[in-house]
Amino acid sequence: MVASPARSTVAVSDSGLPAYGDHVSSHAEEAAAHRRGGPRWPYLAVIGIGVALVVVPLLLGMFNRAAQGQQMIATFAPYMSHEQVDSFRADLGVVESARQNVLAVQANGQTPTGQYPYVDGLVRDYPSIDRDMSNMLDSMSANIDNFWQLAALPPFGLLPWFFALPGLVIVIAGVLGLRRSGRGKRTPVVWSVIGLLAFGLVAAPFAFGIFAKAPAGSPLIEDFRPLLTHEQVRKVQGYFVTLAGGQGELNSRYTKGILAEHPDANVAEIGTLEQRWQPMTSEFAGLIGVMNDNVGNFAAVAALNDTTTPLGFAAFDEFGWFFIVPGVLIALIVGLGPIRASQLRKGDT
Amino acid sequence: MRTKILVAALAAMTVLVGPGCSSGESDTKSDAVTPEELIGLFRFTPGTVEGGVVSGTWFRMVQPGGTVEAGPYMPNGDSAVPGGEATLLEPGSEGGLRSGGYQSEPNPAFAEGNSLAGSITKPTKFFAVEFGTSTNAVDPQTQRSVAVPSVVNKGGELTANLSAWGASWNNQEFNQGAPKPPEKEGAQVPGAAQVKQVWDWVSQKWLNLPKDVAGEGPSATGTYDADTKKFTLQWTSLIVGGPFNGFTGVWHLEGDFEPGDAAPGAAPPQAGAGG
Repeated sequence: MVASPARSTVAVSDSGLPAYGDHVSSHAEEAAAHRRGGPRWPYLAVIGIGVALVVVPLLLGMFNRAAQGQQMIATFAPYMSHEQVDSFRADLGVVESARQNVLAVQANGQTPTGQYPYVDGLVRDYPSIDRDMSNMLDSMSANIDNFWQLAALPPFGLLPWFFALPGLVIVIAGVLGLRRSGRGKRTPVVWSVIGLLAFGLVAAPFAFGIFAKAPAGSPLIEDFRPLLTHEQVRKVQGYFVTLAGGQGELNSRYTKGILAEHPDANVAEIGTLEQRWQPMTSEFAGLIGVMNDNVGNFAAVAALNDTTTPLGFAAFDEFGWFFIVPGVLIALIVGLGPIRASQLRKGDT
Repeated sequence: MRTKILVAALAAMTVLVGPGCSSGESDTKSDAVTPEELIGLFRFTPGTVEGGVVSGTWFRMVQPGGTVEAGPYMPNGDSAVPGGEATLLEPGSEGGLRSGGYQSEPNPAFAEGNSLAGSITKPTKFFAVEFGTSTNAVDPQTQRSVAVPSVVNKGGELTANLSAWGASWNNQEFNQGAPKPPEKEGAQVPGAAQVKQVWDWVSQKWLNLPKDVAGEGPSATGTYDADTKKFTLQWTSLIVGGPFNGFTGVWHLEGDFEPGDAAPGAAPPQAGAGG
């Protein structure tokens, strides 16, 4: 609060406080110091952007969600190859061949005596199981390239730090700059640091290929959305019960029954299923386990992608701009604020 | 008449006060219900089925949405039990479950999907692939530190902490403990663990202490005859995570208890366990 000139004049004459002239001169010095240190608004503006870079990832829950995305990518990686998907398809084919074998045995009148409810269930239900599992494998196959594009980005868990750490440094630099500027000191180091960080933010999406790779996330998320749910996992677990029950009965009783009554019966494809059963179930169990354990992780990644839906775009599609926009804004502030002020000072002299 | 009333009153007093006065009998009962930890080998009686009735040591798996009493159960085509609704178990190389020590699974744990964990129960076919059981200081599925198996007898009723009990099948690990250890820790923000360690150091906490040893939910329970040393133990354990998430394992062990020493290297008892 600045005292009125009249009061100052009275106070000076009676109490020995600074004279009005001194007071005016102090203000003039302060103003001069500000002129030397430059205007305050550029510091305040970069501090605001720095705070946003720290706070927005926190508000969006980006730290946890990105870590969950990283875990999802790591655990799905062994299954996201054309070789692995082809292996799954081949195994589905083995089951279908065994089913056809059972149908042929039945058509030949070689059905063994007795009740075989699990074999009957397998024969009845497998076509729909095959169809659903094949659709799932189609989705996986169609997104293998997308998956590896995402996997080629820097580790997901680190991405929020790419905003938060520069943001933190920018805030610290801005506050330091503001204080030095207030004391009439120039702040070339502060602005150099801020400028460097602005350059880093602008360069990061190009250096990491974010513009090219991140948009692969949206189609993958859309295709996996119906697959990575507890309902779908439960359904696939049910398929496993059908397959395991059917195979178990084929292996333990059905085939023996056929061969006991018809030693020359052809059960080759049922035998192939028996041979392939252990690796097949191991691989499918692994996949179902990864699906189950990533339902929550997937939901987190999808939520991250959906955070910008109210703005009319998916976050992964425009992810690079999240670096460019603050970087360019800071660069503009650096250009309009301190550099412009420096040019003006040079003009004055 | 007065005599009759006196006799009746004395009889009533005898009935009411009598039990309280027989201090010797009371002490005996009190001793009998003092909890006693049973350390040694719980040697299993092999599972058998006769006339559709399953006895001995066995396991079954309830499908999601089912009940322990009525199923539906996973039909193990390799089981001798009609319908495959239970899987009979045989004692492993050590003869059964050891309390006071772990019976960890070997490394490697599998050969072509078949479990090599054969100390507690003999690897047994489950859908054409052998599964095994083990107790591990760090549970292979949840990666949690879990308490050493312990069994307490209280007047013929057993309560067991079998959090460390796990089953392995086809390259998959399933915690089947009771009480249940917490599920596997989810994704961690990079650097969070290190920050926590720094914080622990600043607040002068010990670093890297075993965590989450305590399980949740009911313990295994059973019966014990101190004279014949016959025991039963049973529990259910929900599978959390992995391909069989939501299925429930039902375990029934029975056999003879053989007292022995705690295994060397067994974890110290938890605070409060020793009284």
